[in-house]
Amino acid sequence: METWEGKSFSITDPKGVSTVIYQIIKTPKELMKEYPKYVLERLESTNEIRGDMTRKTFYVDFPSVDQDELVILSFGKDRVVVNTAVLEGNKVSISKKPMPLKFDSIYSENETEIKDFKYTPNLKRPICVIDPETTEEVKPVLYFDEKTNEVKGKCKLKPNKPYFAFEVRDKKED
Amino acid sequence: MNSPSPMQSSELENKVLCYCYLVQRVMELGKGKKELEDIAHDQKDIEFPGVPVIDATAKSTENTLQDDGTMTRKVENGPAIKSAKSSDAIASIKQLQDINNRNKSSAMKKDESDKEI
Repeated sequence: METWEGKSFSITDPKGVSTVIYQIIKTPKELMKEYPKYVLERLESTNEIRGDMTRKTFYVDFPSVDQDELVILSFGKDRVVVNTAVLEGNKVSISKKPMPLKFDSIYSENETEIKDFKYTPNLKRPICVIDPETTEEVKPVLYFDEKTNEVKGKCKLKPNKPYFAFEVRDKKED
Repeated sequence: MNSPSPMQSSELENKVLCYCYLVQRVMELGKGKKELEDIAHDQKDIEFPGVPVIDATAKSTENTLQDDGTMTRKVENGPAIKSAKSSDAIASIKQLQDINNRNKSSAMKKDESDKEI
């Protein structure tokens, strides 16, 4: 049995909003050749309904020695508000300029069937795709392509439906 | 199931890239200390809907990795909550964090010794 100290903090979502939070973990230098520079760890949470609002407690299970950067995504009916925060000791600070993004459909096809789209995840460049309705991640399914002799991935995406995708990068890597 | 045409794949990739750049810009804003304010102050400035109210104070939790590979968290004065994380996931994150923290500590020690010189 092993015991260590983690951190937790709470947020209150207004009606119709569901927030998810990711912790940005910087990959150590010695593993940088094999892994992306930043790994995103989705924080687990527990919910408490308070009238129209939901109070969520998020858990940072492995806080860093100095500070942890967090990406806060609040999904509403037709938009996502992107914000960033820093957890330092017992203090949570958030960016003063959150960014609301209005959803736009990726496709304008008339069909409404579920389709498979090829999306082979790049281990050096992980991109997180989220279904805004459920706030769950859309994970690619890996398969072996015998024609090209490669392991590839595919995601099930519905046409005429918005998805939110993001990755974290340093500006200097442009 | 239909396969996507090359144009559709490209369109998806462009959209993905588009959103990626937006988040990157926000991350840059968040990194500057000047952009980070106390939560209480922030709440007054945010006028558009969809933003959660965030408590500025974090609490410590006591995390325990049980012998059966499950993890529980105990918040101060609260019940123990079982985590959905697998022991493999816990081990890999912990390994990354440990090495990262070691890197930071050694970098800080180097900075201090450089200053002394």
